[in-house]
Amino acid sequence: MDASPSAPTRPTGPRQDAPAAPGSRSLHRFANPGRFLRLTDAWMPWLWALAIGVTAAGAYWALVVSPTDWQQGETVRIMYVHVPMAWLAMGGYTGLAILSIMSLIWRHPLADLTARELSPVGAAATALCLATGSLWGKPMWGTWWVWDARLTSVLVLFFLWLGHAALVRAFDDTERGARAGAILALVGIVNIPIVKFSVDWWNTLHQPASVTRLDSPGMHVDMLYPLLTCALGFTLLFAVTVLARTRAAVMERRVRALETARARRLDASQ
Amino acid sequence: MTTHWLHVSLSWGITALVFGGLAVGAFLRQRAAAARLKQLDPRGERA
Repeated sequence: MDASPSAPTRPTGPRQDAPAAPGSRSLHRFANPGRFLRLTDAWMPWLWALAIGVTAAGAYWALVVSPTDWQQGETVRIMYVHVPMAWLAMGGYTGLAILSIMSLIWRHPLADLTARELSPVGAAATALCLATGSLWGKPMWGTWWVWDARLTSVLVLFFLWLGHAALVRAFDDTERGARAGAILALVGIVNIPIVKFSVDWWNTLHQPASVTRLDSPGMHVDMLYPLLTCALGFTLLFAVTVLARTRAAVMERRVRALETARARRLDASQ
Repeated sequence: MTTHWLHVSLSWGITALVFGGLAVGAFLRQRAAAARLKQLDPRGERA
């Protein structure tokens, strides 16, 4: 644990009254906020450059190089943002659930902070998935929105993201907020298989999976490769944004601790 | 511009705007926090 005056106010190890869970020692070694800041400090410029570079390459491939679809025409180019946003919405939420488990079981201090910083970014990705899907739906289906199982379950996912972001910020005691948010995230995880399999379980207007099929992707490589490049680029951008927000949150917490300590010293000296 | 390209441009435009805004916001927030921390605890630089 960091013994410097800038150490976080919250203990970084497991609670003293709780028995050590298996694997918790190694987890907490990497959960120390000071170590997290030092480790990520060197990576950040490279991660930003990689994320922006891959996303720019994917955008060029998707908008300029990739062919038009024989049925959808140019509108197929919306798929290159819509599908990565859908994957990020679901994958990000699964990540939120894993962070919630780490938070509830091991009292992992960085898991709480990361979950808190993840939910607004996840909500934004889900909103973009819905908006781009709507923009695709109007010329293709003739409607902006339809209450089918896939669209409705993604809308529920968006509300879960928003609910988590609001709930963790609704308590004066940040630890209580983190606990409440973690429980909501774990309850909401039941929606992820519903989103994924809604197109198989119910008769929906939304088409079934074409890339993540178990047999083989139902898409030509001229479209599959730019799609995977865009997905990688947006995933990197998503991850590095969450990482930067978490770093900022760790530093802000230290700033608050230092300011409180300084105010106490001033009070004591008067 | 055809309706198809208009929808494509809107989709990519809002995605670039939202992701760009989040990324720039995170970068600036992190830089501001680092500057404030450096001001309050210059010894932290050596850690």
